[in-house]
Amino acid sequence: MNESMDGGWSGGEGFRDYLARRGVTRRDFLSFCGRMAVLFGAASLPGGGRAFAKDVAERLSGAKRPSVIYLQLQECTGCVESLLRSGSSPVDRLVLEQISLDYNELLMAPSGTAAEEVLKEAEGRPHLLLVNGSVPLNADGAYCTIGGDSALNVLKRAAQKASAVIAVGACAEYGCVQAASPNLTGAVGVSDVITDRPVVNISGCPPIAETITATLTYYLAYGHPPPLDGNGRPLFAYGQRIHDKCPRRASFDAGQFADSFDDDNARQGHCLYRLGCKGPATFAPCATVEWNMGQSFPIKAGHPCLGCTERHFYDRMTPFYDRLPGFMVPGLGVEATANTIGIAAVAASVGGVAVHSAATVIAKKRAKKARPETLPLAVLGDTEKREEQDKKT
Amino acid sequence: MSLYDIPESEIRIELEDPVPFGGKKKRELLIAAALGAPFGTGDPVDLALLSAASKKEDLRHYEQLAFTPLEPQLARSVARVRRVDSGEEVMIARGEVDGILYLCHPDEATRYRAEMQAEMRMTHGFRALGIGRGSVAPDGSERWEFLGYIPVRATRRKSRRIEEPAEFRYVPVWDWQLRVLHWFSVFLILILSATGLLMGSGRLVYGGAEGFTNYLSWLRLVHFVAGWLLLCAAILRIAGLFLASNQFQRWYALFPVRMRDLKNLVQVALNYLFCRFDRPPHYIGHNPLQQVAYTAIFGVGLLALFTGFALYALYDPGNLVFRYFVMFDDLVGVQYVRLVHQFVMWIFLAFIPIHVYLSVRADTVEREGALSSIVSGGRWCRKGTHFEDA
Amino acid sequence: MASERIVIDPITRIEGHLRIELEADNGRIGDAWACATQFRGIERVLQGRDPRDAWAFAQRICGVCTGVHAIASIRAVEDAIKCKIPPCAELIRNLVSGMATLQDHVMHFYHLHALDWVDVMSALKADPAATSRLAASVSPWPNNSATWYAEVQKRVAASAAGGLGIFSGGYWGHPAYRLPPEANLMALAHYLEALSWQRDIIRLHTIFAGKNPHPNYLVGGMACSINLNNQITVNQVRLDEMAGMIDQAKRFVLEVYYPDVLAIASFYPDYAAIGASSPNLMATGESAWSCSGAPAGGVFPAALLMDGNYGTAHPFDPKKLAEFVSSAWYSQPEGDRQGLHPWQGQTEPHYTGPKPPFKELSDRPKYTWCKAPRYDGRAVQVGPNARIMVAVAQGHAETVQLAKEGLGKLRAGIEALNSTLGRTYCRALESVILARRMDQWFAQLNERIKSGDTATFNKERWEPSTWPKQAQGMGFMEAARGTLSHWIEIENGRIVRYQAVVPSTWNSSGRDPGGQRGPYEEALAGGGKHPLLDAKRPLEVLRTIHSFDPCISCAVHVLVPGGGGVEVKVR
Repeated sequence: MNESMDGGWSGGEGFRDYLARRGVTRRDFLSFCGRMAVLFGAASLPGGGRAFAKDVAERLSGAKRPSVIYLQLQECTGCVESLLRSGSSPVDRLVLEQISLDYNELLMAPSGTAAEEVLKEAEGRPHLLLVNGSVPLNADGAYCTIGGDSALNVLKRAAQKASAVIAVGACAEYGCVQAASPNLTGAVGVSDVITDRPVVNISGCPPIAETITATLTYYLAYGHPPPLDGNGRPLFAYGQRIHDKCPRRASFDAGQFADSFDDDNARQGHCLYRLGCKGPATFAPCATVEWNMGQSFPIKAGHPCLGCTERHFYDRMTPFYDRLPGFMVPGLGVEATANTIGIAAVAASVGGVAVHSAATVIAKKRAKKARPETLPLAVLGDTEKREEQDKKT
Repeated sequence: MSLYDIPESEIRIELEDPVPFGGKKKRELLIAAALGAPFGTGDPVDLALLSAASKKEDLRHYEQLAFTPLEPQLARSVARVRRVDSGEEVMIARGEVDGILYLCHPDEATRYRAEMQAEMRMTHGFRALGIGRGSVAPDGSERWEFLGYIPVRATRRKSRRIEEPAEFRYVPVWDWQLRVLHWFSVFLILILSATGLLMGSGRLVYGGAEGFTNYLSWLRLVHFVAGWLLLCAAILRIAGLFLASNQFQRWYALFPVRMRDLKNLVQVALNYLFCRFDRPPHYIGHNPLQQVAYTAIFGVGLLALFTGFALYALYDPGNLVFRYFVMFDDLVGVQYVRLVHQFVMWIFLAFIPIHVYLSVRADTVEREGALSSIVSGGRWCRKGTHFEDA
Repeated sequence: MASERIVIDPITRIEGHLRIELEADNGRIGDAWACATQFRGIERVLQGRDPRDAWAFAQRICGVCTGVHAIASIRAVEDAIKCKIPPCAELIRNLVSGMATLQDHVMHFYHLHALDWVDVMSALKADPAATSRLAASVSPWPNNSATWYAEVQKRVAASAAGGLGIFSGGYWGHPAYRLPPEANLMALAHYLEALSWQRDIIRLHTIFAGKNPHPNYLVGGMACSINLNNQITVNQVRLDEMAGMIDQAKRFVLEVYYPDVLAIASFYPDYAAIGASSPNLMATGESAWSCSGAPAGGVFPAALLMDGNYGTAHPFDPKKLAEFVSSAWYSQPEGDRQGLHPWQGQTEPHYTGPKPPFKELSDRPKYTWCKAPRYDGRAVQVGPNARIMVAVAQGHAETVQLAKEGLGKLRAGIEALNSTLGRTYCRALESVILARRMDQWFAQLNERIKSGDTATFNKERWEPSTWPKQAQGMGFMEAARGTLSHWIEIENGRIVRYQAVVPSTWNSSGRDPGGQRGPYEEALAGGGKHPLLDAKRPLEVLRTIHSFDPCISCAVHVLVPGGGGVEVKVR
């Protein structure tokens, strides 16, 4: 059995076909299945060993699970970890019954050459490509290499024959934290590199496990990716904002806000908007699917949403604990909020009006006081000639 | 008569209170001064004197018998006047106080006082027109008497509006549709700013609400309705830019594109900055500076609408129209759209005091009638004013 | 002697991207190079940001040890701004870190490490009934029926028939696999059980910190409010749920993980003498322990064992840390021979390796993205075995007793803990201690709540206006993989310098200017006795590398450039 299950057969072909290729006859095969029945102790099971052997024979000869390559590029592995937490498609069911996860660095058995061979073979067959992590383009891709080759090349090769490409997580979508300013490594997302076909983006840092597995099972069930929004994100997960489904929404509508963490309002479960919650700007199913098998999610647990399903949230949603980004006041090196600047502008405008009206009054008074240019008077004998003479003297 | 080719209408004559001497009355002095003018005179000072004196007495009771124009050496003119009813004849001499005093030989004290006072008057450009009255004795000798002097000043006409002739004409500027849109937008912008501020600042909102009152929901509803209405107002205004028959409301009135307008833009700006004090050029519609300012605030308003709807679009990102707004959100980042939206409100709030002030100023100080025009639709302009955009 | 050059890339079942290059001869490894092949530059991204946001960036250094970087970051910030957190928040952080470490250790063993010891295909040959008997003999774990094992076997066999998936290309049948089929089947069943177990118990994170991976933390405490009279806060429902999770976690560690490790270890006793690495070990406290400022003393004080003397603990001095870049792709103005303290670095990434695709890296002096941290010039191992050995050296009673028991069963001495098997065993050993500690912390939290002290956040230092204009802080954390420290410098409310010294940096470092190998390299090449039967199927190498639980995304980082040398202030 050991010999028959080495790297030579990886599940792309039916087990029967593989055995046939290896010169095993149908009779041999059935006898193998009978042996399996014995191994499983199935003789004692209802229906007896014969039925079991038949069952095994059917399952072994026909079943082919769709091949999936799950690459991990420049990333933190959090997305695969998240996948492992899925409650809707537990990863054991996913990996054993639903897909053939032919290549994934975190979970696969072989390393090195053996792993590369598995990848090479899987790449050659039709497969579904899942990608974690960004693609660093600087320094010829030296910022992330796998098997001695750059992430870019690894991705391109794996994508060549992929029937669909699914970018899992913020890194694969646009580069996430390493793409935050100043993006030293030139990290970009999958869709920036694979441009010849649509890429499904499962947003989040990381995405909720169930959204990853459901996207996958949707594809398996219907043969095409789920409908997407403008950012390539499945609508079933990213069609609405957290804010629109938030359990603290009633507090928001009522104007009841926590002013500080763990203050009386926070202990009453009031809205975290003032503490910088980005739920109103964030499209994600956190409030509906919730995290870790529907246990809870950040806002429910008292922490404002960071907006991690939105592009460039490390640059655009920060500071995390303020409702709006601040301005660097040029030249002063001081950061101010829009309101401070706004109030200052209104004050300046009112002040400017006051100063200008005062200046107007002063100017008028001065104009009154100023000795006007007097004209010569004919009645007093002034003539043009005299004026000119006066000027000369 | 005119000196230095200044149009008469631009010469202003100011007469101060006559200063009589020797127990004479002001009235007497004024009438004497008027009678000393040559018959049929066109001199502005003479006209002013005649005008002032005719309010005191009917000058038709007098007739002029003879007039000796002013001689440079003597520095005085002399008129012989007869009162028609009594036949009484007098001579009136007018000229520099020195000359008249020389003629009249008053006592030393009078002379000294008159000279001093006349001199002092000069400081403000007033000059003293000395008046003497003489009679011819039967022996043919002349007896002259110093009546006093009248301070006179001639200046170019400046905007001392109180003294200007109140001859105005009514010029229609803004259609009623535009005025309604303006005040409707003001109302909406105030509502939007107030609700926006309250929504944006939890601290202001948080308070008495016991239980769930949907306070913020109402604020939002009002904000959104006002936003939609402002959009309608904006669409109407933009349509008006191309459809209005009123030339001051059409699109080209929003941009100072002509060379002359650009020059005037600089001048108006300098006027506002107190770098120039002369009268800025007149416009019936908006002057170039106003054009620039109002066009910019229109732009800011459109930005407010755009960012507002970009945020509103987040409610329904799949919508046929809203999806494009959401694409914009994704491009910039929702938080920055929010930031711009809030900042735009502050631009409006900072614009309002300046706008109101300048309008009031234009009405009261410059008499341009901007404030009244946005209420009544027209403005009173001085007759004969030259308008750059007429 | 014609030695063979072997490249293993990618090393799978680890976090991040690691490449091992070897020279092997006659089934023995002569020399080894560990090459980290990923760089992201997160610390550079942190420059100029709000220190209160830093944890969310630092946390993304790693999604497997998720949380530890966040805690270390927050500890460093709190040290800098002098913020004390309420006792409840401290307990909650302990519970969250503890659960993360338990989950991490168990998952490492079953899902990342076990396939090095367990032949999955052999498990299909096992007799379920015999497996049931074997399981009952090593543990009271109730899920041990023959039906259950038969079900697992059937499931995996049916799956394998439709495609081997993650098991394809495995080294099945390799002679170095020594477990009988029944032990293989038991381990395989537990592999699957652990998958659902980790999913359940980690929900403690979700309750206290909103989600996992990447739970949310907060400078000044924790964001979850405790209010027994509200629906959405931490109330009795949540506390009951967590009591169940802690119990479930403890039971699995005591009845499955620990017995499995001992059982499997008994088949591989020789690995207690294989993979001995750098004989210097460092720990700043027990597992899941964290602190603001220099580690002064937890359950046992921070200390090091040096030069193979495992009986004497030397006090830890943060000033003696230095990082070298002689083998790493960085440049620094001081030159490559100079080691820099975390608060002195001005290092920039500077790739000098061959343009990918490449065949070999170790033929050049620089071959990795991982710097070489050294303590007092020594390459140092950190991790569970370091913690256990330091605790034993300092006579920590609970640890000494457990270690004695375990080593007795394995018939090995304390020095055996510095080995491939030792590192794997220590991970299980400290999980047992940690599982017990979870109970204690949870009881303490309940006591606090009972006494009416439910504060979870201290807002005194929340506003940047309350901070000093300039401040430095450090935060230490005993993460699953070893001693982690974050170093921060704040000016005018902004981060000006950020630095993380990470467990896997210590362990996966390359050579320093003195030619001293890093711990991974030393474990493979030290003594020249590490076996490698089949260069194409380097199972033994994987065992040793996996015993460190590598986390390469963590290991690779870059100093924030700018600023001159900074005096190290130890508080």
